[in-house]
Amino acid sequence: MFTKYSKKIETLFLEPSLEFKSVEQNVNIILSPSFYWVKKISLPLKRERDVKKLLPSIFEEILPNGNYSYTVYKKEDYFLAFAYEDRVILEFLAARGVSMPHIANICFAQIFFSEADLPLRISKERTLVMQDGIVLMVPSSWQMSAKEFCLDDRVFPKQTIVLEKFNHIVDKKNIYQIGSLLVFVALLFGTELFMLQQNRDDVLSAKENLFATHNLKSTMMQNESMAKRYSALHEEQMKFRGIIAAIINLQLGQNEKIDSISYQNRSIRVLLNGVKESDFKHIAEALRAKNIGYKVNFKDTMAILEVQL
Amino acid sequence: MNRINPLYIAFFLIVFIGVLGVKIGQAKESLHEAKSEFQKASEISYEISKLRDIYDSKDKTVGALNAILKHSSLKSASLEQKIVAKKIYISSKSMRKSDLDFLISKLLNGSYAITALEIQAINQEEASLKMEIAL
Repeated sequence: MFTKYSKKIETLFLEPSLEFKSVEQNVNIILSPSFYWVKKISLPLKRERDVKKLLPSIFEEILPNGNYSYTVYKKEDYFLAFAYEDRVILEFLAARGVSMPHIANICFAQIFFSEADLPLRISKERTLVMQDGIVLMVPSSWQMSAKEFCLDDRVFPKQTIVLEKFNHIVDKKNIYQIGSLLVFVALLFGTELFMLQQNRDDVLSAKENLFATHNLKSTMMQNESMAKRYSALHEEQMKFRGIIAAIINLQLGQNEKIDSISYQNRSIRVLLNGVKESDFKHIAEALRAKNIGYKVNFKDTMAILEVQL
Repeated sequence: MNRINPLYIAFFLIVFIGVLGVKIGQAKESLHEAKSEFQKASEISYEISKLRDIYDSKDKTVGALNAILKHSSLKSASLEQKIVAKKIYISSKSMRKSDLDFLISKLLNGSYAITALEIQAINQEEASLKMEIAL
C-alpha cells in the first residue's frame, strides 16, 4: 500500500491497490486519485475562499452520497477544486494501523506531482499520468513508457490538507455552534464568578466601613470582646436594679425595717431590723417569687440578707 | 495533521466550565459567609454603639447626674459630688428619706453604671448615702 518516497520525513503514497507497509515514525502522505475528486474550473473570482463556498454545488452532481470536505488552489488562470471524504481516508489509515499523530502532512497527488514527473509507474498494474492538467491513475498497460517510482529528496508541498476527524459525525458548523455555546457558557460563568467576587469584596468593604463609622476596633474579635464586656455590664446593672427594686418593695411587718443596703463587688447586703428567723418566711417567699437567690443569717433580731449578682 | 483535536478543545472547555462552576459554588458560599459576617457585625456595632452611649459616655453621664443633683427636690439633701479618674462619687451624710427615694428612683431608672452603693438609716426620717458610678 505504501511506497517509501523521502528520506527525511518518510513520504508515503496512499493507494488502496498497493501493499501495506507499517510505519512507526512521522510520515507525509500523498493521496492517490482514488481518494479524491478534482475539477479544473474557471470562474470570475479572485480569491480561493470565494470559490470554496461554491464547491459543494459545483461537485453536487458528480459526487456519491457522503460528507465531503472541499479544497481549492488557485493556479495561473484557473482553480483546482478538490472534494474528498475525510472519514474514508481516516478509516483507511486506521485500518492499516497508522495513527493520526504520526501523520505530518497530507497532500493530493495532483499537487505533489508535476507534468515532468509523469507518467509514473507506481505498481505493475497502475500508472499515474497527466491529462489536460489533471493527474489520473490508469492501467500500466496504457503507458508502457512510464518512469519507475523513485525516492527523490523532494520538498513536500505547502499546499496540504487537514483531515476533519468528526466531519462525518458533526457538521463543522455544528462544531462551531457547540464551541461557541461552550465559550458563551464559560464567559457567563466567568462573569458570574467575577460578580460574586465583586459582591463579596463590596460586603467586606462595607463591613470595614461599618466598624470605622461606629468608631469600633478593626477586627471582629476585638469588637465581639467589647460587645461581650458591655453586655455583661448591662446585664449586671439590670440585675442590680431588679434586686434593689425587689428589696425596697418588700412588704415588711410593723416592727420590721431596712437598716442598711450596701452593694459592692457584685454583692448586695441588706440589714433587716426586727426580723427573726421565724418572721422571715414572707420575705423569703417574696424573693423566691422574683427568682432572687440569697443567703441569710440571723443575729438577735437582725436578719443579714446577702444576694450575689 | 498536527491541528488540535476539537474534542480536546471541547473537553478543555467542559473542564474549564466545571472548574468555573466549582469556583462559583465556592464564591457563593464565601459571599454568604461575608453577608452573615456583615449581618453579625451590624448587630454587634448596633449593640456596642447603644451600650457605649449608655455606659461609656462620660460627658453625657456627668451632665445627666448634675441635672438630677441640682433638682429642687434635692436642695436640702446636702449631696456631695466628686469625680476621680473614671468614677463619680455621690455622698450625703444625712438626707431625708423622701429625698433619698427621689434620688434612688432617678438613678435606678437612668442609665448609669452603679458600681457601689451604701445606704444607712440614721433614724426614722434620715439616712446617709454613698454611691459610686463608673464613667
